[in-house]
Amino acid sequence: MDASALNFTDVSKVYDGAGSAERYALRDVTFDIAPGKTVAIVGRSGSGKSTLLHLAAGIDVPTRGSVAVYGAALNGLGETERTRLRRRDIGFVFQLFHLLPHLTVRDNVALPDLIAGVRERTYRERVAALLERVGLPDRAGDPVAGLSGGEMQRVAICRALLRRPRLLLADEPTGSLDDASGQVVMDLMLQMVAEEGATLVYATHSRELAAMADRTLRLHSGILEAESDASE
Amino acid sequence: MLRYFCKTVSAHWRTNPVLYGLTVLGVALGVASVISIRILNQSAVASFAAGVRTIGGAADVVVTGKAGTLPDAFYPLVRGTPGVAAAWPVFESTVTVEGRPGTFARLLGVDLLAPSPELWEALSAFAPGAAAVGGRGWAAATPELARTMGWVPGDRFKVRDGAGVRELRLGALIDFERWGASGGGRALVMDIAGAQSLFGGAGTLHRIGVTAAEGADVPALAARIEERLGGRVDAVTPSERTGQARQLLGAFRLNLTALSLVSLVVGTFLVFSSMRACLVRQRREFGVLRSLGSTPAQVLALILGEAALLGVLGVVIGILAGYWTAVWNLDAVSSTLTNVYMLREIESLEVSGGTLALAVLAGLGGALSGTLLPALDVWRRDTRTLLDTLPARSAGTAVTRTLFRLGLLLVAGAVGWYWFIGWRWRLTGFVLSTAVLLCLPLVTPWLVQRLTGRVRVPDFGFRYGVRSLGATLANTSFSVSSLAMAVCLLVGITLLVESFRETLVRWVNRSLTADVFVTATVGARPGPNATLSPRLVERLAGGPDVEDVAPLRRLVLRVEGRRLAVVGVDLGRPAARRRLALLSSGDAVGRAVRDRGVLIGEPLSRGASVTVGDTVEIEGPAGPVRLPVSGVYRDYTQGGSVTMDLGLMAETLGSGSLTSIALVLRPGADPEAVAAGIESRYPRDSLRVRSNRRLKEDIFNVFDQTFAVTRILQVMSLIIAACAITLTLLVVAQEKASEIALYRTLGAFRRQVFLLFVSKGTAMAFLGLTLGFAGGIGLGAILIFVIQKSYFGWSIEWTWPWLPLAGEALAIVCAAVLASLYPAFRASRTPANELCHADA
Ligand SMILES: Nc1ncnc2c1ncn2[C@@H]1O[C@H](COP(=O)(O)OP(=O)(O)OP(=O)(O)O)[C@@H](O)[C@H]1O
Ligand SMILES: [Mg+2]
Repeated sequence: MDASALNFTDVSKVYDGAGSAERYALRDVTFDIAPGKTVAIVGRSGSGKSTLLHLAAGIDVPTRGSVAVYGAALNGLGETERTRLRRRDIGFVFQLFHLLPHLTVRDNVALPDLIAGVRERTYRERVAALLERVGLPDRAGDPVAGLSGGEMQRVAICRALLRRPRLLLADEPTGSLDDASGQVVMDLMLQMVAEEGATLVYATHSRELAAMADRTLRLHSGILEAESDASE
Repeated sequence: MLRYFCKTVSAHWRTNPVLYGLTVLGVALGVASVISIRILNQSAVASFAAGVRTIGGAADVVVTGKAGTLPDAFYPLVRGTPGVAAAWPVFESTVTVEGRPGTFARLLGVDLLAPSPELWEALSAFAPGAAAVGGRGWAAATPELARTMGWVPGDRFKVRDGAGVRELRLGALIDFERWGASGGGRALVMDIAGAQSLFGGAGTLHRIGVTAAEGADVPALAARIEERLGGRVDAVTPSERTGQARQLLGAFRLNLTALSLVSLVVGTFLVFSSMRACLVRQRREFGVLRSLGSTPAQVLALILGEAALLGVLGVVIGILAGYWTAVWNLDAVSSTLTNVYMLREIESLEVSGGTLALAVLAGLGGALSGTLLPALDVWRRDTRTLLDTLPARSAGTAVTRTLFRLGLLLVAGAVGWYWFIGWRWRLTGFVLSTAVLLCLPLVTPWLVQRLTGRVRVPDFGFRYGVRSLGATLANTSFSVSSLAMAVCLLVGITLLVESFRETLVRWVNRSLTADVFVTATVGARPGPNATLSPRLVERLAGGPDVEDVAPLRRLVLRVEGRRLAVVGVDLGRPAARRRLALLSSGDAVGRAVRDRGVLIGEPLSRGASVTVGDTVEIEGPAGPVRLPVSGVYRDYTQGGSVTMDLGLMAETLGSGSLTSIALVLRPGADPEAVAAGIESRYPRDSLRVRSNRRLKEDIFNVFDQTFAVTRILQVMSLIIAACAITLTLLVVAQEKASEIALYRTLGAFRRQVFLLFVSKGTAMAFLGLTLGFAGGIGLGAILIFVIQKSYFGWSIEWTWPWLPLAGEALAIVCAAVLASLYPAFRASRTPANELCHADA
């Protein structure tokens, strides 16, 4: 077992601003997340939450510093290796769900395995089990367009967990939902992550949702401000 | 708003120059194809018309003899017809210039002594101390001819015609433009009396030009002249003659017309989809503008403004490019005209106002109509959906099914109409073809939906690509249907050309059986005045290797109101019977001999609705003759022909010399050697000697040249295939950037996204090909069984040209794969965080 699920060491992300000015989205961020923990990232809009998650997922690269997922340093990896790592270890849940309208609920959930070239008979049961778990077993054959927001996000969680990632990243997973269904989705996600034994890192604006995590990272203008550990 | 407009346009240009450039290129390409084909088409006709006018001068009516020439005595009769202001006789011949084989010139004899200020105006550079103008041997040359030959006024030179060599003296230069006779090319002008006596035509004229008195009714005057001369002449107006020219050029122009049709389809398609491509990208931007309080009208103005800007840019570039394409292809078209139709070369490109208007219409019309759909989309949708990143755009099956049914109904309706009423009408084939072509885009969306919807998706590969085509139905249907239309035309025309060629091969093998063919020519060209002297025929027939000769006499006469070849052969000979591929039953040749009847070609039979048992009227030199029709034969000459026995021909149409003979050689004799022997013994300019093999080669050269323009069609469908697919995939890559980013986030490699797009391109090519082939077979049947029959009266046997069709299909698939490489590359470079930016 690795000692760390996600490690940021002196990570900065710089964008070019107007003229030649540099704009820091993240500045010298350092933290370490132990496997199996749930961590909330909070901060104002524009504080760098999404940027942090993208760097963790390897879909963006830091300007300086190093990012490691379960001991694998992303910096040294090329585009293809980072994709491979994402395939194996990382799941992602988006604020706007991003389900494909031309696929059924079942096919949307199965998409990561489809992309990874896994045979259908291998993932068929897993897909069914996940949909069962989120309470949508009878919607498997439906087009996604007919689902409610909360249902869509539950499908998206199934998709993210399909390949049993060790690290689940969620960018404001309840940001597009009302409070009640947001709560349902959040509960479900926490339970499932616990069942799967995965590490969860999620960004949120909500104080209540942040309180559900083991630990909270607070960002302010790209700087990691304070840490509070709920378990302490 | 104007400030904002300028800012956005320049921002778009900077952020995505490739797509923007492609848009302008698409418009330009479309406009260029429309313009180049039209320029060539019009120039061909104009060149013909100019040839006609040169002869007539600025005449209102041109009088020609039914048998090719007119006696001098007709001239006072024409001039004396009421309503004639002036009349001038013309003697015409074609001569070759000695010492320079292959240079021939038109020789015109006109009345130089008649008072004509224009003529004197046109003459220049008189030779010093020369014989009197119009004296014996005096000739004026066009500057072009003088330049080619390096003559200066005062030089003596020799010319040759069928009758021998004559010496002339260059007395002056003549400018045809100033003379009021357009064109000119290589020509010599002499006094008519001198020309007649030198070139063996004392007392004969070739035409009489007439100007009508002020206010006279020209067609009525033409009719009056014909009547006054007892129907022995044709009096036609220049526009009628141009009309005849158009008819003669029929097959060739049909090709060009088909091409302009394609080019219009391509052009409008390219413009349309280029604009769409450009707009789709800005969808979200419009959403933002709307959400900030812009009215729909303001957004629409923005869209149309940008479309118009790109359209104008494209039209300007397209007109220039089209002109250069025409210049570039001029040689090919021009050589077809001179070699196949024995016309003058195209001397100048005609760029008419109509052509330019059409180009502007196609460019701007296409651009604005291409803008219409996305613009309406922006207009209709509420602001929120415009801002959506993965818009659920499920085109209802109800709509596509209705379109599909409409397409089938269209074809069924057209066929039904043809069956009951339409077949009587000459243009009916074009209605049918249009129905087939229009049916394709109507049936495409439903078929794409059905076919891609059925694909099972076992992996994220080819089949996933095919399946996801259904998700971008509008884009996919668009490129598939335009590809299908192009393939349809290509397949249809390939079927026609190859079937026609195969039919011609069979016909030629059957009818050309002699070993060597000798034809009289003037200036290396067969013509109405070229005949073989009886002594020559005797000598050829007595050659050592010759077993048998088949004589032939050819006249160009008016039959049932059409000018066509009347051929006299010895029908008593078995070879003559074999030569004709008879369509009518029974011993038609025997009947013709017995009943003193004629055999007619299929085009005449169909065109004038005469068949066995009817009679045809031939307007002979001595007046009209009516003869019974004994049989109908296959005939692939332009306009058709009439065949009769030589004896009957002499009796009814007057006696005359043979125009060609075919030699049957003794077994073992070498036709090439015999042909070469004859050629070396007689001057090249007065005989054309060809072995059986050479003659067949020549026939197929003519055929291939006539249809050479179809190669442009092949290139065009490749361009359509490539452009359609590149543009569609670029649009999809733009429109679906979020989807691609999602795949990348879920673990798809760049290479997988790349292959996904190549799969989409290939799948679209296959769909387009399948639909296009289905339509093309229908179109081929229409071309072969309806259009060729009603237009030219040719019976063509259906053949399957597997090899050419397979080659074309392969080329299109290759073009499709190549065309999808760039968009696939672009798509694969979509950053995975694109999706998340859209989130922010
Ligand atoms: N591609 C980019 N180019 C330039 N600046 C960027 C880019 N992406 C993000 N930024 C900047 O980086 C900073 C952090 O952005 P980020 O999206 O991480 O914020 P966030 O905390 O997720 O905000 P929100 O809560 O609104 O989603 C912002 O100031 C943003 O403007
Ligand atoms: Mg964010």
